[in-house]
Amino acid sequence: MAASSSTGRGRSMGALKRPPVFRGQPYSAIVLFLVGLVVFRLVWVDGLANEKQANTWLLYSVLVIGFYFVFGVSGQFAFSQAAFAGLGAYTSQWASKNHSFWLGLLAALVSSALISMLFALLVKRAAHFYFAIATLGVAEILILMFEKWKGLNGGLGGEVTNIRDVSLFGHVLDSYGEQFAFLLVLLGIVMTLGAWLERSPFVRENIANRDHEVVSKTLGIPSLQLRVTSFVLGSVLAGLTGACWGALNGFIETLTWGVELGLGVFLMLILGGIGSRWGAIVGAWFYTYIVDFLDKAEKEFPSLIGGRQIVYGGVLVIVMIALPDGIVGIWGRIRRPKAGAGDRSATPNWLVTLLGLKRGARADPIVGGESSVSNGGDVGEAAVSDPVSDTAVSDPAPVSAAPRSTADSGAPVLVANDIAVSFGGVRAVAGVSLTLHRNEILGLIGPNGSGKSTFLNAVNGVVPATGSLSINGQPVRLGNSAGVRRAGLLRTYQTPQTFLHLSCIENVLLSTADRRYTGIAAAWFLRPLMLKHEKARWARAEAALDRVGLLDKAERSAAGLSYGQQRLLEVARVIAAEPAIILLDEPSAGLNAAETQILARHLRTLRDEGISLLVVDHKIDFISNLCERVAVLELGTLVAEGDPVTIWDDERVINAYLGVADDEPVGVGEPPSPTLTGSEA
Amino acid sequence: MTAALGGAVNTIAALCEFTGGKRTFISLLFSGLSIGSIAALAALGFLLMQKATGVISFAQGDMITLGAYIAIWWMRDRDAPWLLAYVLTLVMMFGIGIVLERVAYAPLKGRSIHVVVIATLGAALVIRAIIALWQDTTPTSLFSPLKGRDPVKIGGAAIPPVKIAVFVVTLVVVAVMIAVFNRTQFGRQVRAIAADRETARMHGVAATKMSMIAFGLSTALAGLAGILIGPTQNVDLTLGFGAMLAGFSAAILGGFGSLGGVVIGGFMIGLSEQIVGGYCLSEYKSAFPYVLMLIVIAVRPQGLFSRGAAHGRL
Amino acid sequence: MGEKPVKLWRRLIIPVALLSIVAAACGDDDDDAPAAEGTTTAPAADETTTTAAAATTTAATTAPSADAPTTTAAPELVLDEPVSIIGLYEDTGESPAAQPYFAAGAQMAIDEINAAGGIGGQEVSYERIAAGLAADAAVQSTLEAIDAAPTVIIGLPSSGQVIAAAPEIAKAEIPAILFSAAPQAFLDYEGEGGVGNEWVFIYRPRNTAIAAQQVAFVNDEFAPTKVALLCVNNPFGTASCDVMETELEALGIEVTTRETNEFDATDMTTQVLAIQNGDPDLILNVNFPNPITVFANQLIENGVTIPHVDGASAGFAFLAGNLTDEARDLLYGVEDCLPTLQNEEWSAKYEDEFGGPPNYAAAETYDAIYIIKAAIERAGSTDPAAVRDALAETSHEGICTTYETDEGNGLHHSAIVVDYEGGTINIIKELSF
Repeated sequence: MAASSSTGRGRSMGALKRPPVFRGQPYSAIVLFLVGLVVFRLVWVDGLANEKQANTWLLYSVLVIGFYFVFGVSGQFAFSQAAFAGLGAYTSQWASKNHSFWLGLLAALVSSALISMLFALLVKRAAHFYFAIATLGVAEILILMFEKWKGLNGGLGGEVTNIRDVSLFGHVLDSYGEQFAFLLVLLGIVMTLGAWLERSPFVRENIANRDHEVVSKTLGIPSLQLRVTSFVLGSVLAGLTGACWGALNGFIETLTWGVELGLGVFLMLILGGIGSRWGAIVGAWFYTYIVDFLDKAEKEFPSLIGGRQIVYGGVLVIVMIALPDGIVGIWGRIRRPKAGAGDRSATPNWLVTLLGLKRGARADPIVGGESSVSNGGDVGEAAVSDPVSDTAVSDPAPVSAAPRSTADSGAPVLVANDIAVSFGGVRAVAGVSLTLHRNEILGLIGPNGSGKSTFLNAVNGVVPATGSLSINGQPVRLGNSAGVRRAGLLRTYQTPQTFLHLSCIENVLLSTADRRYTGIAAAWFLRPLMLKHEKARWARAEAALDRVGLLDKAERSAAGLSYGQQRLLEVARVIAAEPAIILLDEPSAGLNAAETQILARHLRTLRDEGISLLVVDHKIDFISNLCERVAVLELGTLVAEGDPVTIWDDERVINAYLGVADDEPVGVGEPPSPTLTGSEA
Repeated sequence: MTAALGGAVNTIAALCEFTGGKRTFISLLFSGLSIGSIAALAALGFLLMQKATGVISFAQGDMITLGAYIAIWWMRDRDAPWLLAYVLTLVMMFGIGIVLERVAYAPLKGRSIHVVVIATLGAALVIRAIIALWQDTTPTSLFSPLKGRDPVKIGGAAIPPVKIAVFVVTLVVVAVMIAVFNRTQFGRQVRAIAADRETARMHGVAATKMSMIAFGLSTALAGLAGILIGPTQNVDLTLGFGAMLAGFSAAILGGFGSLGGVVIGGFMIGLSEQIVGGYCLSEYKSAFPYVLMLIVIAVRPQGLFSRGAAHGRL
Repeated sequence: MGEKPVKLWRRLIIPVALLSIVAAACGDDDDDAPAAEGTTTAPAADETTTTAAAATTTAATTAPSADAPTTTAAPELVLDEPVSIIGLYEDTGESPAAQPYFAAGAQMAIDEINAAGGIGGQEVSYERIAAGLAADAAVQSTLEAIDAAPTVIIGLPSSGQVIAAAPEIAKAEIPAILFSAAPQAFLDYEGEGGVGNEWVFIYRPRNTAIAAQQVAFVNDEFAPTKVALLCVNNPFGTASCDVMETELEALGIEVTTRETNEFDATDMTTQVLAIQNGDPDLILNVNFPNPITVFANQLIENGVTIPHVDGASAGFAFLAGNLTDEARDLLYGVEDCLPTLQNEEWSAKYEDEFGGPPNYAAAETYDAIYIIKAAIERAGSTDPAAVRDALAETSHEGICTTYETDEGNGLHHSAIVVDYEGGTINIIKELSF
């Protein structure tokens, strides 16, 4: 994306004319690159050995572009990329034995797609280490199959010779030059398909899902589907590489697809730059030629022998620490000042953020996520940045969408019955029943640790809970955050949960209710429809940003926003979702008195549009002014419910608030991470 | 329905060949137990490190290899008596674990799981290369006082004493580990950290010290696995990789939960490979542990021996 | 009381650990065999090789330095074009599988030839390119060799390398003498996947021929009624075991079990138990050095004490020193050539030059250079097709044996059966075919 999006993103003010999927010059970049490749081939490459090496580079490039979608875009730790390439190679040689290469290629694509999909669905509940280990397991099983399955490998232990050549209209591509041309076209197609994905909702949704799976789910993003799709996409590109590898080289052996290449794929992507397809190509170049270089170095300096793995290991660690965006990132850094800090490519890639090189640029996960290592120790850091100050919250603008009917005002829209949440024996929420009515702003207050946030988490399905829930009279299963979102419920979080590797407008686009044509098939085969819907989504997202006064920052990375602006961005994201119900978790935190008033006005406007709101907050006067009704939680139970004036007459409410020190950290109410920490020692 | 089930059973039975009677079964059983022991030791290392630090180290396999090579070095190049060599190896491995913690883990504390995983991968490559530079890549062998001894006859089967030793030593180590975990201050602190790092820290658990000791201990466990596995085969640079994968599988079967669960997981891995693989589809026997692991991840990702259901993704 | 020692211990532990690592790293300088990446294990000796030279043998090495072998050239030949030879093999330390003999043997022959005036008045230029074990790496090196347009290419000791590179050599139309005897590499291979072509000559004895000879030897020596087969799962193992099975059946010997293993197998219990169940009289094993070691030791561990006859890898298993004495004494091997026993004079000369005894690989590269010299002299030019045609008519007396090109472009037709009883290599029988 670095090169593909350089132009057209420089604007930072005013309404935007075109959605990002229309902008940039990815196709000219690809064409330029391919032309450059041809020049490189004609000018620098001579001799069979160099010709073959150039072809190997292109093959690795396709393999690593596949891995970019698995690891770079989707964040999945897969050691199986090389093994799926092997699968492509073996099925292709088998299927093309008595037919053409193209049938073999088809078989490779189908088999790698089917097996990778089966695998991804089988281990759908595994993340991080579990997923990594599972992919190691599947790679071992696949390699064993290549070695042993006589029907597949011809019975000679995985060494297969005389594989059918690639032929085009009866012409066999038997010179390295022709093969280079073939691979050039292939790479061009893969790059174009990749660019189409970059210019579609697919990549941004993957990035969101990668960075905050739980939040993504609550926005209606199909998490599992995206993960599986990306994994299958990467594995299919691996299968494609394998099929071409076998046919072009004429032979295969199992050694090629083992752990060394599995690790090499990681090395290539991290070295080149994890954040873009170009990184994959650059990394593949280094990997192809560094082996050569090290071979020569070993010849010159025999004492370096064995040094190759030290070099690999060292490069991995050094690049991780010194160059988290890889080689492509260096170029990005040089280019950035000119292009203006407007676009996604100006954002540090997610590895930079995860490494903590940009302090405060990391959001904490609500549940699970990365917390088994990071342990949420950074919750406070984000809060350190300045509160809303540089951009005043603009006055509520008229809503673009037609106000909803208020005829059935007062009917219950959200009925939560006997909601209970326990963490390791502690009842954080102990049977809370609440009803939210149409066109109502309900306040939920209580001292720290009383279970307010946990109650919200339970309602929108991000922590396991018991009880029952119905929205608009329809029962919704607890824990089904996608179902809750479909029913029209959205929320904001105590600490803003924005996606720092996306621009502001992309953050908002994530939540738009119209999810038609957002998938991979639409991005490739139904582009006009996808673009049409994307335009509509774009307009809605723009309107939402405009309402919270962030339109001028639409193209900026969310990471560049202040804490208060991130909060507003979250609100815009909720508005764009066309919600029926909004849950707000401490919306006034970090706002000064004037800003709090503007916020209250915003919320009332929303209410007037027919949206029901449940507001959790600490500022009693804010709640008292805003809400028609207030509920009070203490120690996980509902102690009082009533109008904001009389509620303070209730002794239990006073007891609950008296003497309660405000000493608990922001993250109270969050469960200990279930990720890998286990339950028992 | 029953006919279909019967058909399935027949199909599976057709893939199996039950020959050799009791003698073969006992031989396979001990083979399985010795492989399972190694898996269990590797898994214990993972578990300990994971509990104390939240990290699973991909360098553990190469640590197993390193343990075997250090023992070889003491005995072959330094002429140390075998018992002394074993003890010195474990002490060195403990120290190396602490160094690894300081060099490869401590600087990355608090960073993403991805970063730590890649760092451990890098460490694995470096360790492997260091062994290659130091000890050469030509396969060699590790002496054991039991090597070359006459087999022990059990139920007509001849069982190599080395395999019996692997099993017995593992049982002893597991017993000691369980005692350490449940009875000592260290064990309580590790459990406290595993349950809730922040709270444990607030209550004065020195997380840094714990993580250093945990790295040291789990590396020493890897060294022990290396010492035990070394005499049963040729020692080369790939010695530990298979054991590490078996250890991963065992830990997943046990759900990264209790020590006992992980150890039972280890023996399930060993027995599934040797006994099931010994009779059925024996060409594919080395895939059985992974198949078992994938099934567990699919059906019961929280592990076979953890209580309660898993929520979310593990 | 307890406080201070603990702290001291804590302060000391890291320096001690570091020191012990440093000590470990520095303390081993006497063993200077270098090393490299470790993802592959040593390949079969039948294909390429691993380790040191022949150990203590009964050879008396006293002979004076010998002249070059007995190929006599047409003395009048004068060449206009330069003669160049490229060798594709690794030298010590370039990979775990690398050893010095290929390079040393070739260098010795080249030096002799150039000292005697070269070929046809031209000094022979010789270059070695390291060819990795992986097929892809081997092809890359082969292409580098082809780019240099040499007169002849020699090398590629592993079957995977030869299978992958043979088509490139045919395309380039450069004559080559390759070392691996994978059946598919021969011109007269009839199965699927043959890569043999008229440009490729195969140096080492055919695996399949050796397999047949092994069966004949076993039949004469042990007269077994039941035999178990163990074959490594690759083209070399599969093809050899196929031949053995057919030959055994023809002799009326029952094959009790046929087991397979991977070249990097580290535990062979399943195979040992399966073989034990069949209760055979002996075992024929087609394998790599490491699995042979593991298998031989595990046989003893499981109480199976029958002889097993292996290929050339047995020699490497023996030399690696990881076999128990009992396992070693039940082991038989088949070697291409044992220069230390079969040509003491040449061996002494080699040892003078390189400081250690030669093995078959040194003898074979040495012979290969002289075979090429003879072919160029017969062809009267360095024209590739002419040299190729001359190579097809080779008859050359080498270090251990006489090389003659057969209809499959195979050159080598002899081997010797040895055992390792008592820790020395003893010739049991010479085979020729």
